[in-house]
Amino acid sequence: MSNRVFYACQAVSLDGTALAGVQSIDVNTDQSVIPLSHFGTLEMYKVVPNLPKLSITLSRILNRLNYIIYSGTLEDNINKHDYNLCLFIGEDTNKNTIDSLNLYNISYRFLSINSLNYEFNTDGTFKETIEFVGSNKEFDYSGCIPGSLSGLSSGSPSKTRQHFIAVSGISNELNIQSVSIGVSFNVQEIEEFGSNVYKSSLKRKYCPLPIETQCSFTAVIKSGGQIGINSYGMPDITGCGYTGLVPTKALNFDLCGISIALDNCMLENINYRNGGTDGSNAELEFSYKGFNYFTIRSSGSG
Amino acid sequence: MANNRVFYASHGVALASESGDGSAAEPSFNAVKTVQGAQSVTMNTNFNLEQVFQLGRLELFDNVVTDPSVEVTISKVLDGTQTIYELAVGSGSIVNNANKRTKFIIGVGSDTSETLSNTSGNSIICDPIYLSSVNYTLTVDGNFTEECNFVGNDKQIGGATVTAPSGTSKSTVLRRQNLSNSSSLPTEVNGQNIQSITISADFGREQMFKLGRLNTFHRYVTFPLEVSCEIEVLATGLDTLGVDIPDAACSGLSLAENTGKFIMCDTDGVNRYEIDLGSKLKLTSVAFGGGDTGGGNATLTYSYVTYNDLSVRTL
Repeated sequence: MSNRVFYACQAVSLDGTALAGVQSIDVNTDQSVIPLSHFGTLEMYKVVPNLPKLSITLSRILNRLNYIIYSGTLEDNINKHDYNLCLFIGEDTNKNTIDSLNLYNISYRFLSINSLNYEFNTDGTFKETIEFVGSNKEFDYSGCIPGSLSGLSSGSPSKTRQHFIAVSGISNELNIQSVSIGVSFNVQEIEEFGSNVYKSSLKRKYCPLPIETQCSFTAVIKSGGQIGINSYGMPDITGCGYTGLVPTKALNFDLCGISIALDNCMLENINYRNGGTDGSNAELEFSYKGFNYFTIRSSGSG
Repeated sequence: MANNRVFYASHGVALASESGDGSAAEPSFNAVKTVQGAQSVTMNTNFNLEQVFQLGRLELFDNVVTDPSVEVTISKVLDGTQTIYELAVGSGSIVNNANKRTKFIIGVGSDTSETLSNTSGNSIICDPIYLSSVNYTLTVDGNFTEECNFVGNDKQIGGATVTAPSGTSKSTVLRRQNLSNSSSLPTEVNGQNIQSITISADFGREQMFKLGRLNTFHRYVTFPLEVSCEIEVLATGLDTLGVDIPDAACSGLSLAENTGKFIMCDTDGVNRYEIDLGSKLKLTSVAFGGGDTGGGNATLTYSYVTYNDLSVRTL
């Protein structure tokens, strides 16, 4: 009989494929209520349950395995609202979750990707964080097949700083320390009278446009000449030709087999900081904002 | 014939300082010189690992090799020849030399030769490596010594030659009589019977990385750089430093700034080394101890500190 649940006794599969490299999973089930009172009494008239909502946050290490959850262009993905995620929980005395005699599962079906976040740093591994939203949750669902966990690999090289090749669109002279890429889809549901809360598949969902992408990175600067790369002066605002600090551009991140592309990105903020009397190094932080373009592809090698 | 052991006569170390100012991506070095009067050398190679696990399996997902590092410590007697500091980064101020890299070579020769020989088949080269700390010890008993630590991320096996050090030094090994009277000592210890002087500085040498490259591209000296100096004297009385914290508003305590310049001379009276700590040495503590029933003498230890001021020269 188990005493606890730790990393080796829980596993995740998505659409029948075991997810390797998962570091954590948080599931939040929210049942909000609508309290109704009425004249004549202090007592509540009714407490009406509202629509239950699920929020699942999954973080995992990027690696060179082929399975990329969000793969392709924005158009390929923004109308996909039928991800099926299974969380398996086994005994705490086995090396692998799949080896458990008593293996339980919880299924979360008809999920939508609500946000994506990627972090690359010079220390630590490259991480992907995905937030799913939905309204369907079932214990011991027959569609969650334990056999899918047999595809959980024993390991593969984790991504670290040398797997970041370059960012096209950014000067190669900068010594980049960290990159953060995020996109929020802000999935909305179209409510209608008579719809059944349980049958999430019948709900219509959409992502309001424009979909905003954010990208920021920090770089250690070597000399005053590098500040000159980014010393954007305040323009004469009486002119009609002002196009911003820099023109919009595309940013492409090459990660040895995984590529992440953003477009229509405008430099929103430059922050020059540190290098103070505490002995730290001066660095520049660049923040870009883009719209309606987010593509991830995997070549399966690297 | 293969060696049966490695002892002091069968291994040696050599250093080369960078010929540029440290800004070139690939350093070029001055001529390699064997460290004269070396007493010991240690080398540690660390393979730093970071473990990664995953949900669903107990076993390791990956054991990532992060930043292997090499740490070297060399000590030598001060004998009038170039210091390890100077061989590694050149003479002068640490601020001017903060970005300079060093080439380090250790070679092992035959254990049946009187002098070091044939090291090319049994050598290690660290290119580049960074000076990470220095320590000078001057005592009334024993030789004046210097110990330097280095840290780096590169280590190649084989192919380098370390020539044997010269048989005789042009000066004798420096001992207590070789601290020159022309040294500038802090006021508190002037005229006292100095027993030992210890000067040390730790440069930090934080690694700088960038995305797209596993190796460091630079190791920087962490400023402000603390340089400490400890001087022990035989107590002939108590210390004369009173502490009187004023009560009045808009008042304060102030300690005088001292000059610390230690000059060492040889038996011919020729100055050989100068360790200059500048003119802003401040007293941080005085410790009175000893003189107990064991029969030992009481001593006073004065500890000083300055920042970013350290210059070592062979005269």
